[in-house]
Amino acid sequence: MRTLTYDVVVIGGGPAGLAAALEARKSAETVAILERNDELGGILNQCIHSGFGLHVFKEELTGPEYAQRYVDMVHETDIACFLNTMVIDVTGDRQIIAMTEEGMQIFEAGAIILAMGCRERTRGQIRIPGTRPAGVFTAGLAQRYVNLENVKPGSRIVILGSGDIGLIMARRLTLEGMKVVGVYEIMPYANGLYRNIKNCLDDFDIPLHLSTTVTKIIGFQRVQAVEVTAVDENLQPISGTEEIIPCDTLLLSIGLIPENELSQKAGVELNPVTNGPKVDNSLETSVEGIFACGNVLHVHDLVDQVTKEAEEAGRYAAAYVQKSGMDDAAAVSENMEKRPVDTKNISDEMESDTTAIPVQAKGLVRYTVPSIIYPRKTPGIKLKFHVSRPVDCGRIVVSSGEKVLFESKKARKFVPSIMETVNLKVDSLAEGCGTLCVTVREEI
Amino acid sequence: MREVTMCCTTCPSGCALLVTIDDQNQVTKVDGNTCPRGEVFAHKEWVNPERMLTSTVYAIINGKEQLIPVKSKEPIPKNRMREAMKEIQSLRVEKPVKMGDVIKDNLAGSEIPLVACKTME
Amino acid sequence: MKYDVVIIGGGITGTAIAHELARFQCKTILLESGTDVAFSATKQNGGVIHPGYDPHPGTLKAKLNPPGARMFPRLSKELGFKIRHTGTLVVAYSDKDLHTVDELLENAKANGVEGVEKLNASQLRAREPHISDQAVGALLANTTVMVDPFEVAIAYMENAMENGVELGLCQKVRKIRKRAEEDFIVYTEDKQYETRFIVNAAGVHADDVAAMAGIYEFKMQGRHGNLCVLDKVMPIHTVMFPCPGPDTKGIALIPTVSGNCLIGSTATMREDKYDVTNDAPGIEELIEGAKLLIPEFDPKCIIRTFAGQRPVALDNGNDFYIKESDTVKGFIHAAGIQSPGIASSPAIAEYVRDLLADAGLDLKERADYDPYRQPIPDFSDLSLEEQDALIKEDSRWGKIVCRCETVPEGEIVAAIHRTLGARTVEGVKRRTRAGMGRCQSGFCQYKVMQILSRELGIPEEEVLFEEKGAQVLFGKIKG
Repeated sequence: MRTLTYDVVVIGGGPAGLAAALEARKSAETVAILERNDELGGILNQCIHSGFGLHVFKEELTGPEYAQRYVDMVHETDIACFLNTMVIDVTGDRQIIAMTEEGMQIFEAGAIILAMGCRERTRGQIRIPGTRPAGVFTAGLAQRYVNLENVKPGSRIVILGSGDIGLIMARRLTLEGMKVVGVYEIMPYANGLYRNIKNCLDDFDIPLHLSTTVTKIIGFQRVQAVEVTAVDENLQPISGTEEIIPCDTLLLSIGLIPENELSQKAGVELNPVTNGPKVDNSLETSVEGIFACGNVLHVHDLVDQVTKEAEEAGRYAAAYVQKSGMDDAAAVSENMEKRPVDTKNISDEMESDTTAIPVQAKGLVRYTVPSIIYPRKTPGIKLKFHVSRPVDCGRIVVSSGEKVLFESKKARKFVPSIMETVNLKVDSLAEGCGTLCVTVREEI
Repeated sequence: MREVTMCCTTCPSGCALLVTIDDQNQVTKVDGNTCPRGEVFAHKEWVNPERMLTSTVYAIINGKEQLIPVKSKEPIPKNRMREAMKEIQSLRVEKPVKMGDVIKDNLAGSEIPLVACKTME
Repeated sequence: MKYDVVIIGGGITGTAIAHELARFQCKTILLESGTDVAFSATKQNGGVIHPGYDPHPGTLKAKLNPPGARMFPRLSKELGFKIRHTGTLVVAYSDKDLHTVDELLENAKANGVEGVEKLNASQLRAREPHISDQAVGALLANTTVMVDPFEVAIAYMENAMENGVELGLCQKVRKIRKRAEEDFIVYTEDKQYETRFIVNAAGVHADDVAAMAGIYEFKMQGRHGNLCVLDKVMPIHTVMFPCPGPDTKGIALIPTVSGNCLIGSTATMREDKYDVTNDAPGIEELIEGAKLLIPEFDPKCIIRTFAGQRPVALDNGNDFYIKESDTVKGFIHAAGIQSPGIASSPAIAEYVRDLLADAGLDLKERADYDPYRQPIPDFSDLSLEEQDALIKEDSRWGKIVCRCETVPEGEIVAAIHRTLGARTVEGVKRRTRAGMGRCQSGFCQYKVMQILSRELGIPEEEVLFEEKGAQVLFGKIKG
């Protein structure tokens, strides 16, 4: 078995991995991308709808176009792309074991960037009662079947969940000649973007039923029907409101979960709210030299945000390699010349920053990325979060003890489907600053 | 004069627009938009709504069956979508394509071409 | 062409009997209504090889469970199925429960079960640190092992087939005619089988099959149970039951051979023998049951729910019903095989063999009998060097299909081209674990479909999910 060594190894060749690798290569000598599929681009390859790239490219692109642009950029560099390469183990000292069609392969990395993306929640996780017939798919699997595999997953389809994938699939299935009976959402509000509700459902007269969920799957061989039931304010089914909807297929668009089984093997600590790693402001995880970005860190609503985040991870991972290279060089010269070398200054300047400031999500704020800040590690600090429910009018407030460090100028609307970002100045985090508290203050 | 509400679909923000229509059925005023594109959208949406159409085209490239992701290069009139889908359904490509290649001119009489979204060799 | 024995039903009982009869020169066929063996109760249970401390002395269960359970380590080696040594804890929460533990200890002694002891609270916590602090002690049965019950049934059948036993899938028995002594004709939808003896291992439908031969000696009903599969995150090592109530064993936490954990199961009698639906109150009961044992249990780690019916012979003291028919000679019932049916299966098979011998079947051992079955290599279980060697031999072993369970294409192709090969998406899953992990096939189902279609030489829209008539896809969209 060969061992290959790279300064930065990026696990995952989707939008996060591609952007992270490109940015890392700007200062790291050798960069590799490990991709389990037979092509780069990740899930974007099956997201053939448009709506990507408005922030990054200032124009509206489809998923494959967005991916193609990054793939082309990567191919213009000497970044090594390993396709059909499935990482099965990562250790805390940054050794990676992968399976390839040529054999098992070991990689050693100066820094690792986790960019494995996320998976879909399944029927089991929301425990829909009933039988277990053919015809129950996650929306992403159905999207794969329709857009890449050229096959119909069903003919008369009910969609549970109003997330963007579900809405977009409602339109795709309709355009390709299948009947979408309706979209059901347990929450009293839609989870997807407004424009998807308008363009994907309203344009095609597909009804959206809020505060209603699937309470039973019926059919022994293939799905024959689903039972839907209205829910009360505690999301509990209201007895007597059951309705049987005949259909042969149930699509589930009920949320995404970061895929962190590999991260856990490396000993990376996870945030139980996001299921993604806990990271600091340089996107470094609890394991030194292992960084994370994109949907493996927390689920994003726009690929453009994934790209931006990944670029940061790429930059900081490369900086980490450079710094540890300098430390190593210093250590080597120390050994060889038996003479003390003053490495203290270098590392002090770089980041030997032990004043950790924990960040706490409070109230309507579900979580924050990062969850810990080392003020001197990055030139500025970006706090990202999602709210737990829609807020008609509110302001973001970041405080430390009694002291308010940031407050939005204008009160505005917040929705759970849109990620919020706050830019903090490092200067605002004074010496001895305690836990940062991030919240959205509701106003009437 | 009357007012109608609509959701701007230009970008993911999805601004809620309040659009004033005069007695000649013309848009006279747009409120609620947070950028100039909202105003343009409201006029178009009231007179002749347009949508980007994305789909796939059947292809056999080097003996391998594939689907090429495609899009209308520009938005096409919403009421031509069904016809456009019929045209797309009957297309068949038998050579490699590059992202941006025109697969079909004048999609459903819209004068907008259908283009490939991916390089497939 | 006349058979000596027709076995009706390809669950754990039928396949175990097929495996046992394969040692002899008799001509045997097993008829199964489903598209695969292990099609109902066998795939729908927890897979605990109970050592036999709980059946009441004097019952058939007490007679067959302990020797059956003791055979599993040997069978695992011969047939190449996995076992995991877990032990069982029966957890006590009160003085009354501790008294039950004492009774179980007595029972174990009477049934000849070794390795059973009583733990006090601190011994219990030393073994399972996450156990509820309400627990005051437990019974520990050291010899309990875990199996995948469908893997065992497949292994039984595959070995039987390799030694000459035939298998008829999709052969639902419609009618049985008795022409004379030792002369039956068994009719299915499209075939008929002449035979001297019939073994009725039709699970919850055993009374219906008996009725086809004019036998009305017992009545079957299903005891329905919900179960949950958990992701590989539960911090436990031992099968854990609470002390049993008057009717059931209670809700258990069951670490499986693959590193997952099950919660199982609820127990309610059902009129409808085909009802294997999950119900919301049942699943809630499981969650509460799991929390009683491990209070920190978080239902977020549930990745799948399923349900099954244990075949219960009514008015039979909750015991197995295994005997030759009183009225029709040569017709042997292996019915009412509820828990501990998996654990008892090898002993049940020997018992049925003896009933057949008593009924007149001549059992001459085969000289060429091979007790060994080579399992499908489990890629995820191999060392790095073994994995590398396998890929270098055949690159398909380096092509990932199921990422959650690390199943490469080579493993799936191997599972399809077996003596008893996978024919359906679920068949692939039960042989390789592809699709059994946390994403529940969201990422790999399309690949499994492609491989099944290619290897079976059928279009994708004909590939079955599991049941006959259960196609996964509805045909091409374009082209």
